Amino acid sequence: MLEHVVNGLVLGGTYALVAMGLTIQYGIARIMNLGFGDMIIAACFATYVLFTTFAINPLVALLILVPAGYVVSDLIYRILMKPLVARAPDEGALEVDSILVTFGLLFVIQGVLLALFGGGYASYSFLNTPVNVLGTVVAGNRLLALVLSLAIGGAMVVILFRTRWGMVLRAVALAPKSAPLFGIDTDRAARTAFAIGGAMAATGGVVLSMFQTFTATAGVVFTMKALIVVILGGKGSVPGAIVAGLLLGLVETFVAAYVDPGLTLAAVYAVFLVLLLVRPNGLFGKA
Amino acid sequence: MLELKNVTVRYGKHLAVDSVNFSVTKGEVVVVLGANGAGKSSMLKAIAGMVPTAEGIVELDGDPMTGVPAYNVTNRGIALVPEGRGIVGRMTVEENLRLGATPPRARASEEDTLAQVFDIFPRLAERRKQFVQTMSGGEQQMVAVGRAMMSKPEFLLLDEPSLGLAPIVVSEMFKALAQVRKTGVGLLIVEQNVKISLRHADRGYLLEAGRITGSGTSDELMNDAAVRQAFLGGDL
Repeated sequence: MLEHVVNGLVLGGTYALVAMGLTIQYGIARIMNLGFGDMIIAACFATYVLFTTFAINPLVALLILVPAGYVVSDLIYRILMKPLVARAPDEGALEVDSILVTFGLLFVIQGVLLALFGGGYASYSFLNTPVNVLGTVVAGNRLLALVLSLAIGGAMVVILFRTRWGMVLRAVALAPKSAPLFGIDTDRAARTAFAIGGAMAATGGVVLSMFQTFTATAGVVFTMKALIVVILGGKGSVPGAIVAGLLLGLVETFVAAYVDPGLTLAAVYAVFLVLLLVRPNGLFGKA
Repeated sequence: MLELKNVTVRYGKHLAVDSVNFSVTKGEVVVVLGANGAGKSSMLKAIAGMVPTAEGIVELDGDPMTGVPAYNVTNRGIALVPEGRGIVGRMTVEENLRLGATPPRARASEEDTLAQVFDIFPRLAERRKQFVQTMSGGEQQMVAVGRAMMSKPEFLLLDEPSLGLAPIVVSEMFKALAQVRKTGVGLLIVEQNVKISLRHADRGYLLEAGRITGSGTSDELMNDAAVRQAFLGGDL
C-alpha cells in the first residue's frame, strides 16, 4: 500500500513538474505548446547520451540541460512565436496559430530524435539501489526523482508567489491588457514564461529518464498527460497543476496495482471526465 | 509640459480624434469634457501609447513620444488610469500597488511612494491584503489611482474616474486627486461629470466628435452658454 503511495507520488511529482511548465507557457505566453512532450523526450535522450557516452551524472546533466532548455525555448519563441504574436488580433487567434505551429514543431523534434536514436526503447541504470522508506523498499532513483520534483516545483511556486519577478509574471497572466499600464513589457514577459516552461520541460525530461524507459515517439503521451493535468488543475494555475499532477500519478499507480495495468489511461480519463463535469474550470480554475 | 500637436487617431476609416491641440503643465488639473463617443478615451490611449497616432505628435517636455511602446510611456512619466481601471482583480491591494512601481524610474522610491499613497488613501492601508475584486467600486478606483501614483508620474491621465460611483464617493475621489496634484503631478481628466470635474480643475477643453470646440478656465466654462446647453441642461 505505502509502496504504491510512494510510487504514485513519484509519478505524480513528475507530472506536476512538467504540467507546471506547460501551464506557465499557456497562462502567461498564451501559447498552447503541443511540442511540449517532445521537448521532454529530447531532454530524456540528452540525459541518456550524457550519461552513457560521457559518464555525466544526471544531476550534473540537470545543470547543463535546464539552462539549455531555457535558451532553446527562448529562441523558439523569438523565431517561431514572435511573428504569430505580432500578427494575432486577439488571444484566441494566437492560441489557434500557436497550436498549429507547435504541432509542426512536435514532428520536427520527433523526426530528429527518430533519425538519431531510432524507434526503440531507451533507458539507463542510475542509482538503481533499493532504499528503505517507512518500511517499504523504493528504488533510489525514484526517490531522488520525487525529491527533485518537489524541490524544483516548490522553488517555482516560491518564485511566482514571493518574488517581484513572479508577481510581474502573474500579473501578465491575470490581466494581459492592463500589464503595460504597470510598465510591464508583456512581450518580454511572454518570452520569459515560454523559456521557463522550456526549462521545466527539460527538468521533467531529466527526472523522468532516471526511472522510466522512453522512446522517440512517446512525446505525445506526455503532452496529453500534461494537458490533462493543466485542464484538471485549472488553466494557468500553478497550484492546480501540482495538485492535479499528484492526483493523476496516484490514480495511475493505484489502478495499475489493484485493478489492471491496462486500465491506467482509462482511469485517468474517467477522473478527468468526472472532475470536469463537477468543476468545468478545473480544480483551481477561474470561472 | 505635456503637449498634443495636431493629434489624430483613426480606427480604420473611423476618425476618433481629429487634429487635437492642447497642453497640460505639471501641478495643473485640466479636464476634457465630452459626451460618449466624443473621442476622450481614444485621446488618452494615444497619449499613453496604447493606440497609434495617425497624424501629429505627443510631446513630453519637448520630446516626441511617437512610437514609444505603452510600457515605456509609463517609465517616461505618464500614467494612465483607463476606463475599467486597469487593475488586477485577482491580486491584493498591495500587490497591485507594488506592481505599479515596476518602471525603472519608480523602483528606488517604491517604499516612499507606497507610504504616500497610503497617506492619501488610508483605506488602502487597512485593506492591503484584500483581493481587489472583492472591493467596492470606489475602493477599486483608489487602487487604480494609487497604482498609477506608484509609477512616479509627472502626468496622471484619468479616464472618467467618476463613472459608476455614488456622488459622495466621487466627491471623495476628487478630494484625493487634489492631494495628488499637490505632489506636483499634472492631472488630465476626461469626464462627463461636468459640475464636479470643473469644480476641481484649473482649466478645461470641450471635445465634440473628436475635435476641440472650446476651452477656458473652469469659471469661464462653468458660465459658458454652450457648455450649459450641452452638459448642464441649462440650469446651474
